[in-house]
Amino acid sequence: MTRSFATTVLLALSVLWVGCATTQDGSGGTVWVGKGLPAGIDEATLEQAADAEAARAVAQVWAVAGDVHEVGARLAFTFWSERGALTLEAYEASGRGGTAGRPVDSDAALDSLRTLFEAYAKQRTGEVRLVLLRQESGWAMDYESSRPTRRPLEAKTLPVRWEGTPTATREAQTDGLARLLRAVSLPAGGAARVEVEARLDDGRVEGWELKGFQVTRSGAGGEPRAVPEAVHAEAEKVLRPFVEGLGPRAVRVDLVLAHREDAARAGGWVEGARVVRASPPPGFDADAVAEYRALHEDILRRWREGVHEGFAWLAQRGVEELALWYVGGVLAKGAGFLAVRGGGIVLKALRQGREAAAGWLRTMLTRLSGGEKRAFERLWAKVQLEGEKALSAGERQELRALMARIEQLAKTPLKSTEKDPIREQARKLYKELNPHLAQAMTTNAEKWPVHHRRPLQYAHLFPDENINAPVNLAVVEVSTHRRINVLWDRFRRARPQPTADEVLKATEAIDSQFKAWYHRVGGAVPSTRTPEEAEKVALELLQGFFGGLD
Amino acid sequence: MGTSALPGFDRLLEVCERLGLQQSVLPPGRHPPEPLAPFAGTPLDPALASFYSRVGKAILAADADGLVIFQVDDGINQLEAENNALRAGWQGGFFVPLFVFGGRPLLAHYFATVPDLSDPSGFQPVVRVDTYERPYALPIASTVDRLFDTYSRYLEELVAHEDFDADGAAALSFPWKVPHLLARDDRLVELIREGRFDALMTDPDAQAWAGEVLNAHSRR
Repeated sequence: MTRSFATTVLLALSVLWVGCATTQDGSGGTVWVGKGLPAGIDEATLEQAADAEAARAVAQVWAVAGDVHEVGARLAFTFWSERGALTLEAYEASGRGGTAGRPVDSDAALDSLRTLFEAYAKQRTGEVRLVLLRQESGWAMDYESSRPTRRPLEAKTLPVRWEGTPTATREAQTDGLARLLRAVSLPAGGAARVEVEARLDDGRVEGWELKGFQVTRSGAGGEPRAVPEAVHAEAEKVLRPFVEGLGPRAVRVDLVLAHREDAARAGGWVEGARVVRASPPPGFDADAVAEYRALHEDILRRWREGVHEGFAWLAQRGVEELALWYVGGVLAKGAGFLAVRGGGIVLKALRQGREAAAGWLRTMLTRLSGGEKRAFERLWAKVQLEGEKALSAGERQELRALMARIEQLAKTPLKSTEKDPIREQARKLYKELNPHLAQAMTTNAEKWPVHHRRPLQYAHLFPDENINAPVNLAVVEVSTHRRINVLWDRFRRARPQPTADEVLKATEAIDSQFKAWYHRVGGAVPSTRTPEEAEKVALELLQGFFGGLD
Repeated sequence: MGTSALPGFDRLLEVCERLGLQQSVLPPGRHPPEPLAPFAGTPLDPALASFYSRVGKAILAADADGLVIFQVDDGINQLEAENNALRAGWQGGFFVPLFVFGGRPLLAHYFATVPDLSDPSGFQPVVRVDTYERPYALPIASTVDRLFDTYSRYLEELVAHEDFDADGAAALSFPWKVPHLLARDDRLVELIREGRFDALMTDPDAQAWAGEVLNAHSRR
């Protein structure tokens, strides 16, 4: 038990689990997907950020508690704590409405809060619950942490070294609440419960909605009373730490209002607030959702710690490297920009799962000009970091046109000018995926081209599939590759406008004869046939299927 | 017939050096081929003969885009082998015979001279052949050395391009995105205008691109 001055601090450290879930097993490549620490972050930096995080939490909790004077009031703040990052999950208040106590020594109370957050909460992973009990002239504080349960979707895992949402932004965000509550009136002498919901996305309040209003005591009649300003202000202060969370979600806030017939104004308080979670983007499995969220958190953290530096970091990575982030962003926030006539290809392509979706997007982006790619990056970064509302009318139109162009491109045959970059990308990707072949492919480069099993010429017949998908690529010795190309050329002459099914059938026929030569750089080929014989059999198969290949 | 100077090749080496691009050059054989000597049934282009009198094989700027000139020295005659192999393959798709002498690393893109279009001294124009899908060719230089010159200027523009760091060679693909560089080659433009490459330019986008070369030339 720790006691300080006028503040009674009951440190009921009923710690059921005190281990640390922080992993140090390396980052997920050049972008962070949730393992270890992001590039550029060391333990010292993390510690500084955790200190800033604790200081903000102290200020936010005291902003609420400092205005609560009723003896017996009990305030409970439940945070998710990880690596020193603190995200408020729930707030509950009880015992309100009683007699006001004597003034509190706020410095002593703040000291106690600092001790709790810096010495205890910062070290824990999992839920930490801070309970403040108002006494006659001080606060008793009870703290406990529990075994980590499933991390809430909105929880941060990296502390952020920033000042928090600027005051002007906060005021603008709660204007909506004030407008909403102006429409609510309380019967004179009565009491009511009001339920409002703030729609949040990362640190933005996107809107407010009145979810319920119930008169719990009718009163004696008379001039209805407005919701007092003090309740608006308390709701804003309660909401403030929730806003530090991640992703789309809502915060449900319960207000209690009461009017005593002998009082000029109504009174009231916030009785509770809790997160209402949104579904993750469709098309992603749990692992992909976790990776997307980690990537998004790191980007948001960089942006919060320095907007300019954050955007510079994004620009250096480029859209190809951050494809997963853009895929997640389009899936989560893209509906308004994908309302293209006959559309749906982009959504279908991006709902194929993490790797396929990111690969498809990377390939499609190679078809855009440099300026279009930069616009894609700039506009989607803005949507993801500042929200769709931050787009100007012009930017909204530009993004809509860009998405329509991608949709259209997917259905359009590749031009010859577009094929070289896609082949370059295929070569790079193949070498990354097959490091055991990369050396030979590099030293004797011209001998080992990368073959597209389903040719680029027919990519538009499979618009939601990635023509550079690993399954479609195979390194083949150059003379064998020439034989395959000759077969495709004959197919083209026989079927100038083939269907997707015909292309699939031809692919299968050619693969069936040449797959023994795929993915081999040197060494014996496990085939009893020569490439010449394989070509002959494949030609017979194609001739049998389609005719006209003589 | 003696060998000629190669100012374009010298410029290409200088550009690679200046831009810090990779250069891999093998020494020539002791008995390099003579100009117009028969190779795979075709008289050897005099500029290529000059090249092989100085160099056995070159791979240049493979870290940016990449140009490979096949190996011919005392031990290996890649020119002979490649041309014989290619004639059995995609060359049958062309009515005009080509003589392949190089390409791009790891891509089935080749550089070839066109023997039927040689000038009175035996110098042949150069095309870039894309053998993926249905083979087609694009005219890219009036001589082999002119290719080296044009390619050196392409590398300068590529490396200076704002998207080069992010996109590599895709930022400015050769020769599709640089018709203005090809338009510097008056003899090439003349041949294109006369339709001398039409039989090779079977790609649906090729004629439009050739029009861009002609337009760029007329603006000079």
